[in-house]
Amino acid sequence: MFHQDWLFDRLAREMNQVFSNLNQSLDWVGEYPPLVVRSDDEAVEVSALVPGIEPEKIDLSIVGDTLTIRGEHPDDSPPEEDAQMLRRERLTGSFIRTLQLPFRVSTEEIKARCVNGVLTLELKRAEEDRPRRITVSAH
Amino acid sequence: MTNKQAITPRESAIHSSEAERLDRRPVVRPRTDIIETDSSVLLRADMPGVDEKNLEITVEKNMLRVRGEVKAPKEKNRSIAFQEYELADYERAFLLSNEVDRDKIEARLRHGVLELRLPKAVYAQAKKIPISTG
Repeated sequence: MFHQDWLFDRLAREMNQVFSNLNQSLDWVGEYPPLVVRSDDEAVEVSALVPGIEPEKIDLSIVGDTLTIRGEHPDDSPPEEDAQMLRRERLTGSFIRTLQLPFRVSTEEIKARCVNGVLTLELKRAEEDRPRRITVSAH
Repeated sequence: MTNKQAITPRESAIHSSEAERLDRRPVVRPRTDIIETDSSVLLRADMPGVDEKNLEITVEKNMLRVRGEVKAPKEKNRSIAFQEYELADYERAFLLSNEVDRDKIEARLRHGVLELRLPKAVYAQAKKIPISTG
């Protein structure tokens, strides 16, 4: 019993820590990159924070209604031998993120931009996936 | 952390009372790497969404301060399916030691990452003294 309480306390403390970190910096603790997804009936817009990533090094693919974003942080470790890393907060290594879109999208009409470390995708709903209005005739 | 470092992030410099502003926008501390060599300090800070026009770097006495403002993109009337980050400005301060040559600080912004190169003044650079034998 005692042990469980202790464990719970510790967990609660750690969760608090996570949330207070989230509040004061960009310490996104979930999957990378963090996304914002907006949509309406016609299109879906995906934004991702990818600071430091060369736009050409971002690989996007769409299969069905699944979007995959892959990329790699550049290796910017200092070449100097006497270099000392006083602080390392920025992320390193490669990342992969998959996202289920609200509908199938037209692969012909994808707009992708990456400006100042923010990736923005505009994806149009596929024609065959759009809702169709069926008129009912009286006779 | 010792005081020997040429640069020290000032965590307490941006406490809420200082950073909180009259407008609603949250302020976040950019993730930062700091690399020191004998001759300079290199600082890299993630500030996605900031362009050079909305970036401000100031040195006042021993305080180096970086501020980046993020302009809201034109929004279409779409509903948010999910949101993992929010639009926020960036701000962070660092304490410089006397070693850093204030007049020679160089800044570069690339793909949302601010890179600051802070050379140390010549007198502060570590010098190797050769020892002659015989």
